[in-house]
Amino acid sequence: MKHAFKKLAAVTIGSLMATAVAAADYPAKPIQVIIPFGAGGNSDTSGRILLNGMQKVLGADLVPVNVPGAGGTIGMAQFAGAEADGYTLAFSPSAPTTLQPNLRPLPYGKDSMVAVCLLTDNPTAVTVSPDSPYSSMEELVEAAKAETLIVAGPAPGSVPHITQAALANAIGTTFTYLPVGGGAEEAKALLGKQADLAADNSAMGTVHGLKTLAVASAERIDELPDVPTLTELGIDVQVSIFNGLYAPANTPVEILETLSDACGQAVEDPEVKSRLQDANFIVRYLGHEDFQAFYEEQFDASLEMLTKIGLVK
Amino acid sequence: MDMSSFLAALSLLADPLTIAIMIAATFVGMVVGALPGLGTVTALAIALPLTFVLTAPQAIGVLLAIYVSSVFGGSIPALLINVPGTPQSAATTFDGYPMTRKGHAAEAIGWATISSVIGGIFSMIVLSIFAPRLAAFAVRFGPVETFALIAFSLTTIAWVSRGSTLTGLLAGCIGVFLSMIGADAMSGVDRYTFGNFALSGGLNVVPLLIGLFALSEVFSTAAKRQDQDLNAADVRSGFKVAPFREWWKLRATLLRSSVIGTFLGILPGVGATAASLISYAQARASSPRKDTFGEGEPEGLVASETANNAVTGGALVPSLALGIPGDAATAVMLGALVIHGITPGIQLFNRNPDLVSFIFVALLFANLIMLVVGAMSAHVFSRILKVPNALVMAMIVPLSLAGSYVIRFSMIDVATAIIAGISGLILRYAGVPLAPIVIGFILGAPLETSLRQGLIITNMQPLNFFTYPIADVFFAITLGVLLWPLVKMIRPKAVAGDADSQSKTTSTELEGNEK
Repeated sequence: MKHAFKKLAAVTIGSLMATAVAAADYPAKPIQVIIPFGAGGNSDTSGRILLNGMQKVLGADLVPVNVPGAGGTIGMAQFAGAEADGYTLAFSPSAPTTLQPNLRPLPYGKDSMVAVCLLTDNPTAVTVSPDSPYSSMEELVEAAKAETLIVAGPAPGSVPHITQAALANAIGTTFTYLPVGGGAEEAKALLGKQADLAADNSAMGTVHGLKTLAVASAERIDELPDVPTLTELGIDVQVSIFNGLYAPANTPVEILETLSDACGQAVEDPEVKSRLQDANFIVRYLGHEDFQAFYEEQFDASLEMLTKIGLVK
Repeated sequence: MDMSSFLAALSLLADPLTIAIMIAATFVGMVVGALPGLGTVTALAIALPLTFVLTAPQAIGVLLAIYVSSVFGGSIPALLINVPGTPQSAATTFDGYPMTRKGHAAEAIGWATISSVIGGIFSMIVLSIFAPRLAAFAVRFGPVETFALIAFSLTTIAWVSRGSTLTGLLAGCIGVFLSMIGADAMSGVDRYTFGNFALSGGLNVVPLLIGLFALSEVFSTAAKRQDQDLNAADVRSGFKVAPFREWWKLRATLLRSSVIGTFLGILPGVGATAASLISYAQARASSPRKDTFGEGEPEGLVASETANNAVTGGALVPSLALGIPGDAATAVMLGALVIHGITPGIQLFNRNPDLVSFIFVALLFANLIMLVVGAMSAHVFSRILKVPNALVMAMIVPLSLAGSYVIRFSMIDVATAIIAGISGLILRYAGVPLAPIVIGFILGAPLETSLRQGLIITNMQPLNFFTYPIADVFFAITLGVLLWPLVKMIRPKAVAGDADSQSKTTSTELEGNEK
């Protein structure tokens, strides 16, 4: 309850007070962090763990605000329109920041935000039901060429949607895409035999007891040492889902650094780290400048990939 | 649940700190549930970081207590001021508020609390005995089966439409149409947004409900220009439970609503709001007192409240047994379990039977605390009835608008509430029932999604839908329900005179099939 009041207070104060607060005093009031997906999802879980850790470092409240809708773009548009005073931030996975702005006209783009820090980076992976007829990626590829397989995933424009399109393009076939929703719904569609495969977060296999056939990363990951990469198998697809903290463009550099450092200290907190790992996230911290470079590189790579698979003309 | 794991679970629960924080959580859940705009999911999300400092059983206890009590909490403003605190309580306003206006607030709270506890405990029993088997059933329930179930659920519109079925259907269509606004879930293309970006997220159910029910009520009261203060002597505030024989009369409704709630909870995509509306409609269709529904009939209130709390245990079935959440609220709870290093799924039942038993025992205990806290705080809540009605009505407006705003801090939701309020007033004058709009809106999105997903997996062959046996059962019931009035019309009048017993037969048939 206390937090609910804080949430309300944060909003009221945020809208009433003049925003000319000196960067030196930062943070002088609660910070609103927009999470563009609903409570309980992947970005929400990791976001709340990070904010909890940063709160201890900064000694200020970081209030998560879930603004779901339209693949995360509603929340990100609200965030991008906020004052660049460091009191409205966003914690977002990669689809609303790197894919959606390339796919359709949105009230925000790459230049509306600056990267604060990267928290987690999981590759996508090809998963099937434990009793699936395909026990290896090779068998799956062979089947995919002979018949049209069904891929379960979230709404179009999401990372798994793009991953399966890139996969189909690389092996020279097409899949039927069945939009069912995120993680759990995909698992249900695989277990219920309504779909043949999924191409979501590499953690999915572990979380939902599925069989992972291949990961879409440059190298094998520590979490799944026996699972080959797609690249190893001659399929050139590398896609990851990364969660990071962003601030609106033109936020003062001092504020960005304060936040980036706090984020770094929070990631070092063994409790934060172990909670993220327990929730099957691969922790990868990058500070403000490194993350900005990484973000821009990922944004351009996404555009290139989307153009190659024909989703952007 | 064997005896040793049951005892282990009891010993986990018998920790004074666990019990104390569960009681506190029950109170918090009730208050958050009672505030319009802050629903079950918000309550759980607020508590989530706080559970980081707790042990896993304590965290589970707290979240379960919040889960069940927030569903119940939403019914308090629904009963007292006609504003559903959470969407799950929409159907509670239909008979709960008229009961309060007749001066029976204490009875209304009594009926609501006890039915909530009965629904909650029923579903907890189903969960503890059948979870693994039911979860396997839920997995087989794919898009085609979901489509058939929702098609059947939509027929309940005919039962909640007072007066003309045709205007009811019209209202239902308005609801389905409203659900299509926003980005298309299958292709991502914006529909009916008129270039307004904020609309691409679609309309939210909370402002729609608040506008249609609460604001339009305020407007219509203002339009009547009548002072409708309750006579102070008539207000029996507090908590009053009807005698056992009254409850015994409603045993069929209690059982049916518990079954509907649990069943719809187990199947993803339908949820507690639809469950309580469908249960209300079923109760009305089969009740010998169907004419008093909407005027403060306890049976209607009981049907809604039993069903929405019965969803809790049902939604936990696929969550615990498969790691697949039944609704948004259980999704948050699953997140909490994962953060505490517990991986839900069938393995959980083998590896950690004590913890699973603890979840069952804690759920039972949470329902019991809810009963005590509900009974004790009823006096405090019902004080609002001592406030002159004009002031209460005036208070509902800012409360409704603020409640709409806090959902995602967007003015589009406030605008939705206001437009829905004005439209609600016009529709009331035009004699168009409001409940079918909500049913259409809630079921519209899953209806469309499941149809289109079904077409994808059947390779665009709608006739293949009939090759799914579970779906066929629902299609058959739907057809039966739709054709029944025609059969009645054709039959000789002498038989049709006995309408009550006929509709009873229909509902028992339905019940049998649902089990």
